[in-house]
Amino acid sequence: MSRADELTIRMLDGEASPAEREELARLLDKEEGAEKAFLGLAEVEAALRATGPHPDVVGEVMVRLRRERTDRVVRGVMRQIEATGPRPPAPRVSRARRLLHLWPLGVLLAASLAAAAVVGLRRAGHAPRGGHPPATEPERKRPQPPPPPKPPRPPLSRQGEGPAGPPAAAHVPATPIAGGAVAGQRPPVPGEVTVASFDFDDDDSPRLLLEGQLVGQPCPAASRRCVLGTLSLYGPRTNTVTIERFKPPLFEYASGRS
Amino acid sequence: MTPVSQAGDASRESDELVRRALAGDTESFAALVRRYETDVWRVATAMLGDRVATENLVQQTFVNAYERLDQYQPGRDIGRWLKGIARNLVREEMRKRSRETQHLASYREYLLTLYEDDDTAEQRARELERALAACRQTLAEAPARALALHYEEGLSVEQVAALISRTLAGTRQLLFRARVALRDCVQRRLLAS
Repeated sequence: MSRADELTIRMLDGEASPAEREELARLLDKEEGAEKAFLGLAEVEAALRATGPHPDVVGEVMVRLRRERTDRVVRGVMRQIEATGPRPPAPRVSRARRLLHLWPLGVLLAASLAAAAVVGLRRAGHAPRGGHPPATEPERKRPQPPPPPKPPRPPLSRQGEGPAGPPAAAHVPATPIAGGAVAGQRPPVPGEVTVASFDFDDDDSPRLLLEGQLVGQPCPAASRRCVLGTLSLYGPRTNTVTIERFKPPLFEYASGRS
Repeated sequence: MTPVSQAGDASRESDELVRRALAGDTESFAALVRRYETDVWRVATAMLGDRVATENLVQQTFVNAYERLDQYQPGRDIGRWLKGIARNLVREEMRKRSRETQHLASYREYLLTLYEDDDTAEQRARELERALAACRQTLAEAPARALALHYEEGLSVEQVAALISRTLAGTRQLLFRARVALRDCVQRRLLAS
C-alpha cells in the first residue's frame, strides 16, 4: 500500500483536498507503475459501484421523454409563428366599436351585389332569346395572359386606419362574373374599403390565424377568440399540434414525422 | 429451457416491445427501460461521477434511445445497443468535465480509448466483472461484509461502521485495504487470462 494508493482512494471517495490532488498528480508522474495502480483502483471502484442499488429511473425517463418531446414541438410551433413576422399590437376594441367597424363590409357587400346586378342586367339585355346557355355547354374562355406578380398582401385594416395609398380591391371568391372577369381582378369601386383580405388559393394560411398564445386553461364558454390546441405525441417520430375552433383545423404542425 | 433459447425469447420479447413503442405505445418503452436499466447503470458508473450525475446519464441514455428507436435493427441485441449509447454519453461527459476532473485525466484517456470499440469495451467489462467476483470470494469476512454493505446495499461508511461494530476510522481503513486488495487480485487475474 502506497501513498499514491491512499490519495487515490481519498480522491475516489471525494475526500481529497486540492493539495492532496496535486500531490497525487506529482506521484503519478514520478513513480513508476503508479499510473497503472491508479487505473486499477479506478476501474475496481467503477465495477464495485456498478453492483450497487440504483434508483428506478422508469418514471423519470417517461417524464423526461414527454417534456423533451413537448419542448421540441413547442419550439417548432414557435419557429413557424416567428416566421410569419412580428406580431402587431392588438388594441382592445369595445363591442360597439367592433360593430361600427363592420359597416365597410356592408358597403362592400352592397357594392358587390349592385355591381353583379348591373352586370347581370346588362348581360340579360345582350343575351339571346331563351335565356342563358345550358349549364352543360362548355365555357368559352378567352386566352388569359400570365398572371402578374402577386402584390404583397395588404394588412388587416379598419376604417380610418387603412394603409396609405389607394385602397386595394377586396378579394372575394373567384367566381367569374361580368363575362369571365374575376372579381379579384376588377378595378376598385370608388368608396370601397378593404376590411380583410385573405387569399386561401396560394396555400398560405392567413397570418391572423397563425397568431396566438399558449395559455394553461380551457377556453371560456363565451369566448369568441379562443381556440383549442391538441398536442398528439404518438410514437417517437409523430408529434402533431392541431389548433382548431371548428373542423377543419385552423393550424396543424407535425414535427419529425417519419 | 436452455439458456440460449431463453436469451432468444428475451430478445424476441424486447424486439416486440420496440415494435410497439415505435407504434406509439409508451408503456412498452417503459417496460424496455425496466428491463435494461441495470445494464445501463453499470456502464454509467464507469464515469465515476456522483449518484445524481450517474442517474442523469442513465435517463439520458433512454431518452436518446427513444429518439433513435427506429435505427435499432430487430434481431440484434438491444441491451448491447443501449450500452453503446450509454458509453457514448460517458465519453461525452468525460470530455465535457475534463477541466473539473483533471485528476482523473489518465482514467479518462483510458476510457476514451477503451470505448472506441464496443466489442473491446464489452469484453473488458465481462472480464473485469468475472475477475472481481472471483476476487471478492478471497476476501476475509469483515472486509467482504463491509464492501457488500457499502456498495451493494448503498450504506454510508458511518452506517457500515455501526453495523459491523467498528470505529469510523477503522471502517474506512477496512474499506481502503479491501479495495487495494481487490485491485491487486483483479490485475493478477486479468494478466493471467
